[in-house]
Amino acid sequence: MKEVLLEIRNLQTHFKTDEGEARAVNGVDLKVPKGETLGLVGESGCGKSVTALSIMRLVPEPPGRIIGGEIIFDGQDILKLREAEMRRMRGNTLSMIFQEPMTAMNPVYRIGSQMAEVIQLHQKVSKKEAMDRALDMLHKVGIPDPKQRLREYPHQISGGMRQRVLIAMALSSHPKMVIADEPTTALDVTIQAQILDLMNQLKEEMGTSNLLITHDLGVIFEMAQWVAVMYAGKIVEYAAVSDLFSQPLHPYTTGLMNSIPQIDQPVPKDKMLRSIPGMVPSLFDLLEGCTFQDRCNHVFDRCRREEPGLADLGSGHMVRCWLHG
Amino acid sequence: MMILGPAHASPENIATMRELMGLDHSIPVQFIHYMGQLLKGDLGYSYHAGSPVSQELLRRFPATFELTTFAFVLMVLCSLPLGVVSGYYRNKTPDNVISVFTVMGLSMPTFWFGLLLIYIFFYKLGLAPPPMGRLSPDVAFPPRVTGLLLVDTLLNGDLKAFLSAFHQLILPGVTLAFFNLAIIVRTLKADLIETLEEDYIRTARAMGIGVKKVLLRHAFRNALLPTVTMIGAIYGSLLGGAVLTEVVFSWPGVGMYAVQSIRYLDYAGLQGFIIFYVIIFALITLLVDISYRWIDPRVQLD
Ligand SMILES: Nc1ncnc2c1ncn2[C@@H]1O[C@H](COP(=O)(O)OP(=O)(O)OP(=O)(O)O)[C@@H](O)[C@H]1O
Ligand SMILES: [Mg+2]
Repeated sequence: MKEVLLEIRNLQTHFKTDEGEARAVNGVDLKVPKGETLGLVGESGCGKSVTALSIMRLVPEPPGRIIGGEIIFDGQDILKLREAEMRRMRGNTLSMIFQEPMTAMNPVYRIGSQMAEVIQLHQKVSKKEAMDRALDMLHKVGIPDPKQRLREYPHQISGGMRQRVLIAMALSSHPKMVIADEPTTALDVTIQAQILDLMNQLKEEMGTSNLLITHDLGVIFEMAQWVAVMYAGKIVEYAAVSDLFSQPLHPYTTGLMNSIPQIDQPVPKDKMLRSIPGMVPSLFDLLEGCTFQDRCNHVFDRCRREEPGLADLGSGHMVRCWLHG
Repeated sequence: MMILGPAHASPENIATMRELMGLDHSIPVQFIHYMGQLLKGDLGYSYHAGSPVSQELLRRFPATFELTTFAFVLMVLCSLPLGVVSGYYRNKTPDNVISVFTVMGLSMPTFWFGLLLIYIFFYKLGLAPPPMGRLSPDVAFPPRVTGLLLVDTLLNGDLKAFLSAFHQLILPGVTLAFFNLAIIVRTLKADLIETLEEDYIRTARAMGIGVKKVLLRHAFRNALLPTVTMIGAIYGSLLGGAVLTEVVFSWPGVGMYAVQSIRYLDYAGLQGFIIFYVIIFALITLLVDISYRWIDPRVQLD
């Protein structure tokens, strides 16, 4: 494995709710190597977005709170930084792109002004230079007539264009890492492919590492070198993409794979969910033993007594299952 | 009879008066006549003031306008920061203190609060001038240009008169402003809290913008839109509140005129006052709509 840019160890993020403490992220471990893409998959509500927000330290607090663990980014533990240091990092060395391009930009400011604001935040440049850089970035993400776009308001451009603008904004200070939380889910299929291509191309060009969150194993196959499968707040399998697709080990991963009719077709959210029988366990009072036991076809005694750890089977393939532990 | 007084209310005099006022015609005829005159800008003749209603309203309007605008500026200048602080520290001590303070204003009747201020600041502390009109009695009125004393005194180069006019404005201005503070502070706070949940706020934070700047640059302007509607409506309510405030502070404005008209059963005066207010309300609504365009680029005016 290459040099690691981001390593998360035993991250725990909980939410206080009326029903009690929701353990949205309950001991996540993962690594993102330099210059590569890690895909993070798992069904709705398993804690992917909360993991991403924890890395950005933007978990809404209250009700959320990072309870424990380490997030080592570029050699330092992010969780130990002061807020001011963290703020200098966001949008600068560590950027994030969100799912909903339609609502992700401030409706009352011009695109150019919003981009320049971010650029000036992290780079000591004049307003004019910031605008020039914004123009360069828009050009880079393939926006036609970028000069005109700078003067427009977000509502004047389409969702796909807006996502490009947000990518341009996120990359404007040449971050080491970009977290993309389902960046294409809200877009048309053809636009999805274009945006993914663009992200791949920019990753190659700028040498960034990506953490790509998705429901869609097909997207992972196209975009990522590594993949982490998440289930009920934990990583249950972590492997190089080729290993995972040729030899999925965790019964949950196998279930996910079987639920995909063709590997290169995007799968709708709900369809993927229904195809694995059973329900996600409650995040409030997690049962003893393996979190997947109630939905697993291979369940045996030990699974109900003890929780398996994330075992390394060599060449970076890790799995949290007694079948392989 | 009310107008002539018991001494002169002979039957012939009453008849002449009726004819003079047009009361000898049937009600529909009177109404049509009134509406016809209204279109020409004639609001009738006020017997108690002894002058045409429209002339009297226009003569007095600057006094009311100056008072309400002063109160309005005071109100906006106080309520916007208070609203932002409340929204930022929601349900914490600063928010609670502001809530108590503003609700106090809301729950006190204007005239009572006015009297309270007079009692404390004029009678007890002697800090405020006597509540008797727009200028201290020993100061000469400037020549009338706009009718707004703060402007006219300055145009006249009379600083002493300007300060006097300003002093006279403070207590009635505060009285009027305080009452409406709570509504704006609460609206702004609620809108801010809602706006802070928006996706673009999260984007701004993810780009490295700090909490305070996000609040002041990104959330504030978006939260302002509903608040501006509120503020526009409140300017109307200030005009309404001005009626009692003017009475308490002997302010020679339109509100006082309305109260006198009621006292003398002077229908023309009161009706004129109401029509005048309706027109002003309509103008304010128009201004609010125009300001939307400035705050929110998505709003198209055509
Ligand atoms: N603001 C919040 N308040 C309370 N609980 C929350 C909050 N945000 C997330 N959670 C909890 O965390 C869990 C994980 O949420 P998360 O958004 O990370 O899921 P996800 O894997 O991103 O799902 P999706 O694929 O639908 O985006 C949720 O089931 C929810 O119970
Ligand atoms: Mg999510």
